[in-house]
Amino acid sequence: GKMSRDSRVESLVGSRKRRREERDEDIDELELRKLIIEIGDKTGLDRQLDALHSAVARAWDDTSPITSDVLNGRYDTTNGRRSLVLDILLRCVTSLTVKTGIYTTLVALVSRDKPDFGRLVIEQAAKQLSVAMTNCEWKKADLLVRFCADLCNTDVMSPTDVANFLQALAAECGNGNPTQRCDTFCLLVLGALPWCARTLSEQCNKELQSLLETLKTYVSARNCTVERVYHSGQGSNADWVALVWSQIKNFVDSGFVVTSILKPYNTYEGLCNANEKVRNEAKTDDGHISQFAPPPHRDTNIYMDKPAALHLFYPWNDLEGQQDTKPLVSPPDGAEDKMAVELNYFTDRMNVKPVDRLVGALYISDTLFHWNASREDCVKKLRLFPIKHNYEHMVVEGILSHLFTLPQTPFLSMYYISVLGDLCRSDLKFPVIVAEAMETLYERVPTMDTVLVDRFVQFFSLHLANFGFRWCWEDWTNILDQDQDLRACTAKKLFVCDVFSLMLRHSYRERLLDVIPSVFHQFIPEQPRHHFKWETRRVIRAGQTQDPPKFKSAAESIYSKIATGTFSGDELTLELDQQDHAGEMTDADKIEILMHCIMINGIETISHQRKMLEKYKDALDAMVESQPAKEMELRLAIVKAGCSFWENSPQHKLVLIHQLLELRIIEPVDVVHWIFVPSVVAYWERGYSWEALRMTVDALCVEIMNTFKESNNLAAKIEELENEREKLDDGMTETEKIQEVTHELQKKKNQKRRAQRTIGDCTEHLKLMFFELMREFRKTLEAHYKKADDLASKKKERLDPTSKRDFNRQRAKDYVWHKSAVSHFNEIGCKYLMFMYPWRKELEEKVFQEADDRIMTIFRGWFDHMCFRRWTPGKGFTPTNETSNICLELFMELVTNGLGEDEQEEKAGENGTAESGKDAMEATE
Amino acid sequence: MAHLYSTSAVHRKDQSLYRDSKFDGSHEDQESALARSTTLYVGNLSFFTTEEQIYELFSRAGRVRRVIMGLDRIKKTPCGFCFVEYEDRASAEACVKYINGTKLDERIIRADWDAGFKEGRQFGRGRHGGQVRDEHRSDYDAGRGGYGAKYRAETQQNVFSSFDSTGADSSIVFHGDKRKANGSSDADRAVKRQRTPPKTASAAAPNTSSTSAAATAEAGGTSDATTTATTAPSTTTTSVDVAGDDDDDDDEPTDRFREQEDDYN
Repeated sequence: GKMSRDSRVESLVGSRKRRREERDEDIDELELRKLIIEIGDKTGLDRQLDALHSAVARAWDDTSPITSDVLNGRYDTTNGRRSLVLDILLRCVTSLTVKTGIYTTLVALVSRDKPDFGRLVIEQAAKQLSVAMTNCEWKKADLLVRFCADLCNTDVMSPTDVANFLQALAAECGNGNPTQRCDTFCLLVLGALPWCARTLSEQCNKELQSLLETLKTYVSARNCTVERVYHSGQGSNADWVALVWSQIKNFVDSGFVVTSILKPYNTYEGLCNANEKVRNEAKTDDGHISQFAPPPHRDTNIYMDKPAALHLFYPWNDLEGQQDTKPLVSPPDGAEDKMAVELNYFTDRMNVKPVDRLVGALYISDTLFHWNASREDCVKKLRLFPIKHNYEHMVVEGILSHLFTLPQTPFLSMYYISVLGDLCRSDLKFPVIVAEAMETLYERVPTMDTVLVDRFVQFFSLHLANFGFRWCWEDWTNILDQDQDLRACTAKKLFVCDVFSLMLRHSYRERLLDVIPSVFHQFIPEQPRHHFKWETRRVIRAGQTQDPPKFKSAAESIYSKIATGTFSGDELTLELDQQDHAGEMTDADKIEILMHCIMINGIETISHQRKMLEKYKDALDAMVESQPAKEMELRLAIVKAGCSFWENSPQHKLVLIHQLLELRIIEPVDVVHWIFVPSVVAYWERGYSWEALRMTVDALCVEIMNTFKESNNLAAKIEELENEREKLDDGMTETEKIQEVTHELQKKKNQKRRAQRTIGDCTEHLKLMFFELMREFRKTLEAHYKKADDLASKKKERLDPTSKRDFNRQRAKDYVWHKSAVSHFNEIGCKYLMFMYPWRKELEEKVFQEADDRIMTIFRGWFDHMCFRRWTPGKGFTPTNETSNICLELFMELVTNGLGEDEQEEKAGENGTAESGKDAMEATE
Repeated sequence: MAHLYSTSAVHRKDQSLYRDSKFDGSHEDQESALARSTTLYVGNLSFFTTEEQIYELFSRAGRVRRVIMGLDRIKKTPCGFCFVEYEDRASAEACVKYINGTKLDERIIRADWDAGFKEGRQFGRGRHGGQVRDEHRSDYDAGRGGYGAKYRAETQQNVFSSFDSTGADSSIVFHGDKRKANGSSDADRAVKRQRTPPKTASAAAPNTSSTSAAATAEAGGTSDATTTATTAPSTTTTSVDVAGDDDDDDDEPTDRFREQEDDYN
């Protein structure tokens, strides 16, 4: 036994020794790659840097072929391992956010030995930056700018060059560029300043001051209310750009102290001098970064997502000193020392400097973006930033500011909610902080944009569902007081109602009754229950007649016919006609009977309901088609009848609308009309009708996008097949083979034609929807303004106390309703601007002609600011700009000249001649 | 970026741990079906969780095409798993990324790739009708019918004889819910929720059942339709292979998941 163990130990030691030797001498590419990627992940950074820089320097001129199978063939080795090293290095730079300083140090160390290294890195970085900007990959651009700026600390780039480079970017602010572009470039420069401003101020202060002046001019002139988080109150106009500017201003004024950035280059003396030589060499180069010119703006560009400026834990303006720092949530009861620790977290956050908060926000934003594929890793990374203070508050606020991005979250909102949940599970500091954040948000509900209130409701209810519904509801009882601020109370009450409604959807009523104090029970909705109009045991409200609803016998007969399961849709419509002896049933009545009877028969589950609707789709379709002039009205009647069946259940309404759309029983525009049905308009302050609208528009947009992709793939396939056929034509191939290819080609062409027809149809639907939406919005809002003006004039009259109270209550309700209407109107405009953009002129002329000023301001706001958004249909993926960008371009093309081509193609298809079809196909490409 | 850190072509997060051992086809077929799938297997549900609750949570990742509740093969009641089918792949991926490992009905749930629903798979494969994982369990799980089926069958006589008098279905034994401070029993809870597991008006997928909604109530009293028993899809019950079921553990969460569960709780 002993012998064998010894020999095993020996062999282990031996192999380790051998491996170490290999590493010193000649490390494998994979290992080099691993070293570059993982540098700084473990302690002992200096040692790692020393080892790595010599390894990189050795590999730089190594021309031997790459041995690793994984990397082989991907890189050119004629010039040494240059392309490999550069590729890996820049990939790390553009995705590993905290390590910028480590990589600049590495570059400096290597270029001390290999003078061309630094030059090539900068060249490559400039090239990639240009490409990233063209492709609108702003996260990548942000990290590249930061990296280049940081290079001035090691003198691989001279401070003057860096200042010129940043000035070139800052020059994009203003200059008649759309606001979104200006904001993006402003943020790129501001985000790089924490890394380089100190060195710039020491070595080229004049340039730095002029750079700051440019930014200041831009920031003070801009006024962006399209994306405001709060509709009124202190700091409501300070959006993300304003916030970042105030943080940088504070940084400049307080002597450029920043502690949250890794600066390993400071430990190497003489690094700067050594690199001066490199720099001088680089000066002669034409493509130098100091002459960097950003690619120009195009209408189809999509700019950076700006997180919401929430101002939860920190003052909204760092220039004006600190706000009230009293924590809103008192630490939980416990021992005194525990209290002290808790309090420490509340006070310590105020010691974090504004600039460190900016750096932290950048880290958080990058981490959320790059680690989205794995929540586990993301949470780990979020807890490992090189920030000296307790930065948990920052993380919570950072994640929430992404969750509250307007008009759409960069990723699915579920991502942020789950990450916050995971943080709470992984570290006991977080639950308290998240609770504090929720409490603060709750206080802000009255002025917060309603789209964000909806998101908060979602977050709040899901978070509670994940943590046993524990909450201090008693703290909120003050909203039940009569003599509170009516507006605030109405908004908060509504919030509580919406939260309970969602909690009920996640859980069940008895559970809520258990966890929620009884004073709030009045706000808990009833258990969702269907409502069959002709049900005999239906509770009849007091004061109503005891007569059963009309057409009871007809409903009974239809019900039993469906229940037997042997009657077809046609037979049902016949039966309905027969039941209508007196001819007093309107079509809407018939539809109501049909819908209620279909749905009561599919009551078991959602799948049963779908199955029944599918089965009797014919009957519904026949009803609608029987009156061609009133089709839209009748389809709306279907939606209304279905929703009255699920009277008290928002969730079932949503599911039903989804099913009706899916089965093509109704069309997307019918959902728009449903939103504007008076009984739905009255509930606009609740979230669910908007959920339905969002779902409908999203589904159309997704279909357009997906069909686009499919159509593009088909086009590529067709080209391939055509080439193949040409080749076959030359030779003496058997006719069979040619026929086969021709057949395949024809098949693909037909598929493509079908795809394009689908796109055409969807675009038509979309256009109709937007026009109806905007028209109805205008009507509804104008009616509201008229009513509000009338009310305002009434105010001057003297009122007795009761009617005064009613009057004030009405005003508070109106305020909440109006905030919701405007928020959602604005949301739709901003979110779907890309899809609305082609018709902007037509919309302005046909719909918004001479509209109320308040409405016009919102409408103009969308297009003035050109807030093109990254529109991510799947939203679960890394939002690659690639797809959304191409789609926007293609979408614009299609709408402007697509229809003509479509017709042309169709004709070609009818003629059946493959050749003319081919021409048409080429014309579209 | 996660992919930088993974040297192999397949990132470990993409690999699903659950495989249907009764998959009709080769291993490669199954893998490629998984790679294209929009269907997820969802495990560790409470027996009381409703289809609506599942819709609610899973719609947060995208549009749900349908939900197929997993049923006890014999009793036709929910037995703690389901299949969720999305409209598109991206939504399904979002679900695995963002919903997997969160709580539904206060239980950490598991959402994993599935090659696609086939008729018959909605039934539990355990000998006693439920899931295999509920066969061998010896711990007490209030949300999943108490103790494991096998354990229960062996020890029912002496341990739970007193509970039988409560009138609850004898095969599902209710017990005091340890998690609740007020001591209300699981039976109470079930009654409160009006969704006792033995009820058969359940989530049987109606796709194949020819007589799906055999509501017996007359038109006037249709509220009864919700509570009367539905005839379960008769074609499918017999087609499930009962023999040799004991060794089949595909519905069983892997050890990794059990650990995770413990971590969170």
